[in-house]
Order: sequence, then structure tokens, then C-alpha cells
Amino acid sequence: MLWQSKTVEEVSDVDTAEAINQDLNSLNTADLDMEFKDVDAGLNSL
Amino acid sequence: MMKKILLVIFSLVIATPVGAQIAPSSERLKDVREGYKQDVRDLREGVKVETQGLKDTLKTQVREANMGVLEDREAMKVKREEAKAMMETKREEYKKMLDEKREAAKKEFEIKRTELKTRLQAVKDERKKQLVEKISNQLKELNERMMNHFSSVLEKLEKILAKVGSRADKAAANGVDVAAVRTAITAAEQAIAASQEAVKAQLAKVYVPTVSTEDNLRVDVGKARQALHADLVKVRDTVFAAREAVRGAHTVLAQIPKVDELEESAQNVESSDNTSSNTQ
Repeated sequence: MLWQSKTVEEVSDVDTAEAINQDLNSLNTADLDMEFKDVDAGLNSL
Repeated sequence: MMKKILLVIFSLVIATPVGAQIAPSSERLKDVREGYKQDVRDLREGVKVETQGLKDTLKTQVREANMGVLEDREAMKVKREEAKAMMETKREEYKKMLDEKREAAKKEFEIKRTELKTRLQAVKDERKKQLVEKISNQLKELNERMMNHFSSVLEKLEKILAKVGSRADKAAANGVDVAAVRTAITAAEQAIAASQEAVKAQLAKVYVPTVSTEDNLRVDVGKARQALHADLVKVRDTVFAAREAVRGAHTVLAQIPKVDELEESAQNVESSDNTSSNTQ
């Protein structure tokens, strides 16, 4: 459920180079290892 | 007395012709002066008419030029609206395809879960049984959530790329060569499309552990976990590639001097038209 708190920011309507750069920097592609934390915890207790 | 009469006669004889000569000369001067005045008036009128003509011509030319710019801008706007509508349609179609894949994966998962339950009957430890089923569900949910997330990121990338395109259009309307930006945009579109395909394919996959023995549960479930992780890394890498491709297009665009001001320069043409109208 970790990634759900990391929502993808909405893209603004402004099309200046600066705004586009901000949009790109605000993209979150998620940390896979963190996403597997719960699965790994269960796996370790098997 | 006689002397006075002679003086008057003399004055009439001499002074009358002189006076007669002075009067016409003064009239001529007056006429000449009037003539000059009229010439100046005519000249002024001529200059005024000519200036007005030039003003009218200039105004017409500015208006025509502005009409051309406005038509170009209108065409550009229509083009952008069409591209936006097309993108929306494509997005809706893509979402439908994802739903289909999701449904197919759900059915396959149910089948494999039943098989897992059957195999787990041989396992005596109830806690372990439940844990294996729980992890199996977690793997399914994780795959689906990550694909939804990546799909959302790709949608944002499409929107960002559309903004790069829109800014490039404005630069092009101002006479800037944007061929390099267009090439980079095409490359980014291809990278996004490739990543969307990867997401679609990944969404159809299921990761239910194939358990063998009770002692081997951790290894068997671990294999399913590793398989999902490896596949998610592959899909994430395509998303990274798409993001970098969009960033590349943005970088090429940002190299255009004063690219953010180009739209305003075009808009200034309208205000120059208004200014010329006010000079009348």
C-alpha cells in the first residue's frame, strides 16, 4: 500500500520551459524495494 | 490765393498719376501674397491627403499582416485541440485494453489460486498455509497497483510532452527552427508507446506460487516474488526511458533562446494594430 501515498502530481496547463521542468521533476516512479517490504516480511516468516 | 490754386492744380497733376501708380502695385503685392498663401494651403492639403493615404495603406498592411498571424494562430490552436482530442481518444482506448487485461488476469488468478489451495492441503502448518495465500494475494495486488501507477505516470508524461509540442508550435509560429524538438518529441512518443505496451503485457501476468513441499514453501513463494520483482524492474525501466525521452525533448526545447517569451511577441502584433489605429 506504500505507493498509494505517493500520488502522481497533476500536470499544470502552463507550457513554459520552467513549468515543464517542474512537471518532470514532480513525477514519482516509486521505490520498488519499498513496495516489496510487506511481501518480504511475510516471506521471512515462512 | 492764386498761389494756393496753382499749388492745388500742381498737386492734382503730379500727385494723381503717382497715386495711381502706387495703388496697383500694392494690389499686386496683395495678390502675390494671397497666391503664396493659397499655394501653402494647397501644399498643406496635398501633404495631408498624401499622409492620410500612406497611413491608410500602412494600416491596411498591418491589419492584413495581423490577420495572417491570427489565422496562423487560429490554425495552430485548432491543430492543438485536434491533437488533444486524439490523445484523449487513444487514452480511453488504452484504458479499455487495460481493463480487459485486468479482467483476464483476474480469471487466471482465480484458477491458479484454486490450484494453490489444493496443493496447500498437504501443508500441516495452518499459519504457513494462510501466509502463502496472503503473499500470493499481495503479489497480485502489488502488480496491479504498480501497473496503475506506471500507467498514470505515462499519462502525465503524455501531457507534459503535449506541452513541449505546444511550446514548439509557438516557437515555430515565431519563425524559429524547431526540427530538432520535433525529432525529440517523436522519439519520446515512441518511448511512451513502448512503455504503455510493457504495462499492458505486465498487467496480464499472474504470480501465484507453485508450492512443492512444506519445507520448501519459502523457496517456492520466493521464486514467485523474485519473478514479479524482476518483471516490475523491466517495466519501470521502460517508464524511466520514457521519462528521459520526454526530458530530452524538453532540453532541446529549452535551448531555444527566450522560448518562453515567443508567444508574447506574436501577441504584441495585435497591440501594434491597435496602436496604429489610434494614430489617426
